[in-house]
Formats: sequence, structure tokens, C-alpha cells
Amino acid sequence: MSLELESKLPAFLHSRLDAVVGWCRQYSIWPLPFATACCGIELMASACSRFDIARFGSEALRFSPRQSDLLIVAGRVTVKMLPVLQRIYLQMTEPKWVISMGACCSTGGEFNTYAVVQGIDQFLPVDVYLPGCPPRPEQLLEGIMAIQRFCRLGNPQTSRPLGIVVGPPRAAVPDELKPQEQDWQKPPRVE
Amino acid sequence: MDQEHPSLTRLQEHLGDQHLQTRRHAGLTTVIVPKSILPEIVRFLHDDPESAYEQLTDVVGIDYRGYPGQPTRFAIAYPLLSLRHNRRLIVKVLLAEPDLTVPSLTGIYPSAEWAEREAAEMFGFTFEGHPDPRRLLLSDLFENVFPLRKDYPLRGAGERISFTPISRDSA
Repeated sequence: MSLELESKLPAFLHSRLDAVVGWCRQYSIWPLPFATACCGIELMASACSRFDIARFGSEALRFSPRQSDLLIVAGRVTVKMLPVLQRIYLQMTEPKWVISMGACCSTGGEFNTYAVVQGIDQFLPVDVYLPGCPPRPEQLLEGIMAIQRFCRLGNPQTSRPLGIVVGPPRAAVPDELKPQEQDWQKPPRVE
Repeated sequence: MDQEHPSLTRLQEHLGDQHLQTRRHAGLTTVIVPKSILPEIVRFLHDDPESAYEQLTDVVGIDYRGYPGQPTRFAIAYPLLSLRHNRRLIVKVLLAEPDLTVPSLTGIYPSAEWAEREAAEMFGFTFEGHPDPRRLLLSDLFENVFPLRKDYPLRGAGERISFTPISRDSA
């Protein structure tokens, strides 16, 4: 740091300790990928270079619940799997959050059968819901950013789940790139 | 008896004057056998060099509840495959309640082990002589209920809501 910039800073900074801890914590939310179905592919895409979950400090995917803060449940959860999921949630250390990724995880989706749990929020606290089949990686990143904003408040672990829904991103297509009507017409026949 | 399928001719020679019911549909031949001679027939089809069914591709449980023209409610189909002769044959056993026991084929085809465990838990069959008769796929919640039977409700009998919720405070 140069001398002139240093001289412009105040002699000391003061803040609340929990705000400092929350500010530090929000950029190191380590997710546990609980990927049971095709939503796991979008979860993997979020971790790859195109979407790059590392921009938000969550690139350290941990497969041990004791080392992770965020449970990302991606895919359908069966009756046989739900006790495993509950046990994994109990093993995570606080503060901890849960993202329910995709229609199957949040509601059972199209699998309305005897074997599939119709929404894990009946049996687990879910902080962020991501609708979609599958959701876009942007939605997952937005969900992580929503949890980050709660971290920044300094009181990360609320006694009730946050209950945030992150909808699909709106397509921002410029007018000149939108498909014109003649694009959809049949090309002229070659005589 | 359907004489077009070469294995059936061999089987009839082996059995002598005992008559077996056969059915041919969509290019596949089914032979219906009594369960008392099922291991003997399958052993013959496996060992006979002109039949040589080396593979048991599946063990299929069938519930014929409400199906017209069926003498029994349940059946088990064993689709056999011969790679050597490029041939398939389905061996079927008809079962009626309350006696849903059938001899296990694990001594002839080791691949029958998991398939028979699945059929047992989904339909309630008992495979006599199975080396490991535990359940395979279902949760332990499905005690004495058989999900692939027709009288079982599609959405279950309450198994999928029978868990204790975990809250933030209890975790």
C-alpha cells in the first residue's frame, strides 16, 4: 500500500465482531453435493469454468458433511434415501444451509409414486428452493448469493429456514438477435 | 406344442409324453411349465448342447389381477437367452395364492440371485433355496407390502410420509 493511500485511511476501523465473521464466512460457503439425479449435471456445470462457482468462494465441494456448510440436494430423494439425507444433515456443523435444487427435490416432480418423497422440506429445513427441471446454473449461483447476503447480516443461522425461491433467469436477448418471423418460414424450394 | 422353435422339440423329446402349453407372440415363444419340474426343465435347457441357454436375462413377476382369461393371479417369467444359437425362450410358471413359493434357479444361473430378490420383495414370492433371501431395493418400511402388485396404491400406503421431520432447533 502506498504512503499517500495509507494516510487517507482513518487511524482505526471499528465494526461488530459478528459482522466481520459473517463477511469472512460468506465467501467460504463449502457445499456438499448430494446429487441423486440429472440436476447433478447442472450442479457440475456450475462448478466448471463456464459458470465457475469459485467466483463466489464455494468451489470447495466437500463430500464429508462435517466439512461443509451448504447441503445442495440435487435430484429426487427416495424413501430409502431420505433417512440417509437426514443423517447427513444432522452431521453437518452449524451454521448450515440447505438448497433444494429442482422440481423433484422440492415437490417430487413427475415422480408421484410410492418410492419418492414428495418434497424434502416436509422432513428437512430448506433455505433456498430452485424451481426448474433442471434449474439453470445461474439459479444455483443466485441461491448461494442469497445465502451470502444473509451471512453478511452477521446472524447466519436463523431458527427458521430462509424459504427463498430463486426463479429462472429472464432471457435478455437484444431485439436484433430475436428470431424474426421469416426465419421460421420454410425456405424456398429448389427447382 | 409349437414345433417351430427347435428348443421345444428338444424339450418334448426330453420330457416324453408330458405335454406343455406354449404360446407364440411377437416373435417370442413362451412355454408354461409346472413349478414342480421347473428346475429340471431349466437345467435341461441350460445343459443340452442343442439348446444351450447360457443366460437368464431377468426374472419377471407378473400380477394378472383383473386380466381376462388367466387361470391364476400370479406368474413368473424367466426369459432365457442362448448366445450360441442366437435364440430366446421364455419359461413361465403360474402361481396362485396362497402358495407363492417357487424353486430358486440360483443353482443353475447365478444371475438369478438379485433378480429373484427383487421379484420376491416386489410381489411377495418365496424362492426356495435362495442363498441370500434379503430384500434388495426397497426400504425396510415396506414390511409385508408388495408395491408391484395391482392392489397396491400407486402413491403408496403412507410409507413416503412416515418420517420424523428435522427442524433447525432439533438438529
